[in-house]
Amino acid sequence: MIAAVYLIAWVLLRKLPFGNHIYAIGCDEHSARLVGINVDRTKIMNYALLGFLAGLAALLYVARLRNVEINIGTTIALEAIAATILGGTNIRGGVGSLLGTLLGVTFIRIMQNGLVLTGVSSLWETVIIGSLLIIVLTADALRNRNNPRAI
Amino acid sequence: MTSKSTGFSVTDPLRARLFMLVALWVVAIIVMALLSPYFWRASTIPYLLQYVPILGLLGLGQTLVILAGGPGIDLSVGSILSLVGVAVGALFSIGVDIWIASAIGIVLGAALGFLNGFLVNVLRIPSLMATLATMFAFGGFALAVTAGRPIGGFPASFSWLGQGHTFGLPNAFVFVLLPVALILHVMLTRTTIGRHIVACGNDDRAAHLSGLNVIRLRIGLYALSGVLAALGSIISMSWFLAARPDAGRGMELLAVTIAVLGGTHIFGGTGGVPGTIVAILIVTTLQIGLQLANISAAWQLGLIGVLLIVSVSRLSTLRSGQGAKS
Repeated sequence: MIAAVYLIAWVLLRKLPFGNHIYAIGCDEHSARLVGINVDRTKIMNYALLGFLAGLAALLYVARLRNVEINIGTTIALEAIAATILGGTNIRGGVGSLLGTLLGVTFIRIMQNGLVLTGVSSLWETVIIGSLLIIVLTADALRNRNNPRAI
Repeated sequence: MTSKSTGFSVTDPLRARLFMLVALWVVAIIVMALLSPYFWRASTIPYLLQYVPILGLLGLGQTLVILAGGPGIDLSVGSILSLVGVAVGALFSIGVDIWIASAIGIVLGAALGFLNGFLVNVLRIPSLMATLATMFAFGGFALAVTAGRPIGGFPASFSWLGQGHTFGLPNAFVFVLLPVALILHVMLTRTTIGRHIVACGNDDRAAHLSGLNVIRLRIGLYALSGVLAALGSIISMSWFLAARPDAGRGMELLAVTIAVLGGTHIFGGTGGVPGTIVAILIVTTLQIGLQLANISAAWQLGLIGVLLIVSVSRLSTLRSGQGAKS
């Protein structure tokens, strides 16, 4: 099912003009507007898609775990953002790929699994992911120091 | 006819907003009084004012950070509050005097705030991302190190700040929030630094070209936000006589709501202390009122969220209306 979702998303991003619009807006919003891309509509569609995918994720979560806590949303949101940035999506927009995000998610999950296996308390997960996010953002920032457009 | 405000005159839109906020506060009081018979009593006001200082300090810090532009925001204030609390508790439990530990806690708050400022302004990581990451890093650290258990055993003399009353008003309010608010207000409206902060928020390129050290100013404000969060942490510990690792959870949302509701434009340049103070009173009134009316905390959170959305969107039309008017 996840493969199907990613496939559809990939088609959306690469093949359809909608995907090109997204990259364009990320690169330079003002220019995208001048070229004629309906920036507001694209952004709204983006958020709508995000909501849809979140709902889908909720379905999968409940199907997997059989019960729901109220607070899982916050931690998972952070993990999702961390996974996306780890996977190469530039924080300022314009650069990114689905394959990268997939790898990022895999990395985070493997790391969490490793933590559990070595017996580290699960309370440390948030710290590690938060710190990892900071490190990755810092590394990105330092690497693109000379590039004014990038982060 | 010449309009009385050409461009961004800081006083006029803020004064109008102040009137609107006070009116909103009166409406909130009326609604809350209708919701619960316990609300309209003489004992409610000191009870209300008990909650005000902690949120007030966080809201003031947030106001300054957002005011300086960037766009700036500090989502980690709640976690700084928790972490400083845990640090002070840990220091106390190895024998350091509680007040010295508190002073060290304030320095820690400044250091954590400085880290935020560094990430946002030197490394140019978007403030939302950077402070989100530090929020989880700091908060998670506080939780992990204490394994979720609060640190207790503070001496009763420590509760003077959080539980004591002078002339019927809570000590924390009189001796911490009021002076801090006054100092910040004077700084913002009367001193050069205050004008510099507003200038950075309005147009940081122009500010930079005028010779202002925008980066240093913004880092300083993030550090100040950290210090205020640390102060809030000390008040919280004094009130509960325990250092809870989740003491600041959820407060960052309230802090941002307070700042934006109080008239601070989310992209900076407009905003001030009086608006924030009234906003604090509104939010606290709503929270206490809902609490007394036995409405669950989930609805409170929802109301705060709606309030945040409404204040951010309304403020944008206010600003664009300003440009269209003149």
